[in-house]
Amino acid sequence: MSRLLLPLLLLGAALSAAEIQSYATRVELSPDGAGRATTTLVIAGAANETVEIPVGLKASGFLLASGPKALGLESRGALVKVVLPPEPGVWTCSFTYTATGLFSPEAVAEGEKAKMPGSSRVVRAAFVNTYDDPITAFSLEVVLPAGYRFQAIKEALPKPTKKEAEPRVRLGRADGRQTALLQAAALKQGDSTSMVLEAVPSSRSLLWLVAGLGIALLYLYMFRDTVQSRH
Amino acid sequence: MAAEAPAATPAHSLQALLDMEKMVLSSKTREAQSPTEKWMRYLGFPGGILLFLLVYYLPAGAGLSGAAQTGTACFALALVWWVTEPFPTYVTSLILMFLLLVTRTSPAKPIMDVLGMEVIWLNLLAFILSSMLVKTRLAKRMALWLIVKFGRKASWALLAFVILQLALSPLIPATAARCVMTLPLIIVVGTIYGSTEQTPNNFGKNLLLLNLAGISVLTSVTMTGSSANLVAVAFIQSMTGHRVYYMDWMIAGAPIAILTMLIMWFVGQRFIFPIAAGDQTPKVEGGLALVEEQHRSMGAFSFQEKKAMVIFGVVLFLWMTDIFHMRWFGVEISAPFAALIGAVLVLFPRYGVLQWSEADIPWHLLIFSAGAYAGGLALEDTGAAEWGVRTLFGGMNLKSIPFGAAFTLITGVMMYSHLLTTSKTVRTIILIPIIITMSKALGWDPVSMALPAALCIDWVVGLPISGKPNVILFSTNQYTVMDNFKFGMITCTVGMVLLVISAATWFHWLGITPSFWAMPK
Repeated sequence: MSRLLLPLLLLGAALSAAEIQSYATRVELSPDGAGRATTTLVIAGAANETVEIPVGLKASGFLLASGPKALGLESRGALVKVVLPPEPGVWTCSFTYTATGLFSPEAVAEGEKAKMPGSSRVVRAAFVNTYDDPITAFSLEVVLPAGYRFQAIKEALPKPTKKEAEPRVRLGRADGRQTALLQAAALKQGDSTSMVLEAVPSSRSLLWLVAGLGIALLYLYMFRDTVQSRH
Repeated sequence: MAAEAPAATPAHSLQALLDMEKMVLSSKTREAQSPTEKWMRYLGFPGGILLFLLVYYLPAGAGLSGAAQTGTACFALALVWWVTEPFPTYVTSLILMFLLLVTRTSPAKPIMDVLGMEVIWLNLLAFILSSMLVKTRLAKRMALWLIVKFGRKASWALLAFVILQLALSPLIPATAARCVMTLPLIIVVGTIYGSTEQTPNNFGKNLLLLNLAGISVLTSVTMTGSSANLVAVAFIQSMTGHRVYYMDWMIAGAPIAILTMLIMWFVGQRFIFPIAAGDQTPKVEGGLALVEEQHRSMGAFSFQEKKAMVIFGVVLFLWMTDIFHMRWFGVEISAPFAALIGAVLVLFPRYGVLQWSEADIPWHLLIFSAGAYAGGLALEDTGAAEWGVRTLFGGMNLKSIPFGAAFTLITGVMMYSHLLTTSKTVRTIILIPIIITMSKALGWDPVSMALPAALCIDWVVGLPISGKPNVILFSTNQYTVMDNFKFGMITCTVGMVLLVISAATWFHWLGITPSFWAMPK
């Protein structure tokens, strides 16, 4: 009998695990590389249930920004422990923290050639779902500091499936600053998603303007015989 | 705009006309002919640079990366230069490849890798097979037969080619293969009607551009006409759960494609490039009787011709039976590899048909294609193409207009988007999922938009860079980029009109589209 009871109890525990319906993080980067992050969660769970939420970023200084009064929050290294209120329900809460290591110059080992100009910065973010159950909708939005723009999306994983019309990473703009939004759905335990982007100063060199106009004028002078009358 | 053709082409001796070994494709640079063309060349160079600078320094769009913006600027410059030709098209391609690197649009490897793409290999190998048809005189025999049977009048000769392309389209999925297979015939028949590289006339323009349209447009008759069609069907099935069957596609697509070709056959020779009365019959001394005599005098098939037929038959067999390859051989022999085995047989020492030096390979065209593909891939890889499409659709406010208007806009974007991309598959991958998602958001059955849009995938007829057959036929030097653009745009517009009429009538009766005047839910 006990052989049957134990798996049933475990199954019951698994079935009752809180469901993370939405996990959205927004990180506002500053030129020095630090980021101010806000994570908003929608969790459906049982009374007083403890949910250990993976953060995915190098983070410190967690603060509960909004949510039900009875909700508890505690950081544990790469995890945030959230204790749900004493009644079952669907709860929305958000917490803020400082994220580091997202926005930095390209790391070039000694003896290796640089692949980007010195003014470029790399935005690198990855998330692995270590939670027991799938995260229904995941998003991570990175907001560049003013004066920067994205040059290229170097990596966006996993590749979209045939059922996904949206690209994995979408660029956008908010308050005059460029943003990159990483989105994934139904991230099961162990699934990961990541993006690597190159950011550059948004002002463009006038070299192309000068060179382009110079060459165009030179051509008009040197090739004027193309349209001159033969007489 | 177009090169001025001589009013009347002098009659030539048939022997001189049919000396096909002089008709090499591998060393061509077009000279500007009309004053308009000269001015276009002169102003095209600074025009391309100005467009580049304008796009490059424009304030960045919200969802556009730096690389996407510079890639668009580079492609815009190349497009202006390809059309106006201040340089030969292949030089523009080389400049584009360099620009993609120095503007940090693409890394060096993907730019260089385009020369190894399947499409370039297929072009290269197909030219070897084409050289075989020329050297063995099989092409000459087939062309003479075609003229004897259908060539009493220019319009019937043109119609014969439309029927030929219609017959080949379901048999050979590779459009470049179909093009190269018929290219020698096209050149010889054009020559018999007095249209050569030196003296192109309106018959030649109609013949070449009608074949170009036929090869592309008639590919949309069947679902298996191109791999891009199958990609679209896979998207429709995976994103909507609706399976498009072979006959569904054919019933919807075939009437539009065939009717468009018949209209272009009529309109082309009457209004776009009117054929002078004197050019309505073969322009050879002695007329059609001499052509018949020449055909008779070729006698029985030579051993070399028979060898060429067998080799071509092997390649054709592999092209036509690709769906069975996995079952038969345990591996799929794609179109370039079928051509590759043909090239091996053609070039086989002692028993083959050609020496390497006899193969007429227009390398400049391959470089031209490579540059166009590098530019097209840059637009795709940087997300510029997708951003452009989303921005365009986003600005149309499709929620406030009836189905018919939304249908016209969406299929119009699909139809004319080939001017900016060089791959049908890429266009399909970008556009079809967006169209399906957008239709769902608007409350339309996604198939009602996606299937008609998929029928436009193969209509890549606007520019010499738009597709492989376009590059190959452009090598004949018998029409300009502007001629190509004019004929291609009219073809697309005729197709659009027919599509819209279909959406209002038989697509609706077939249950594909809702009422033309229905408003979004």
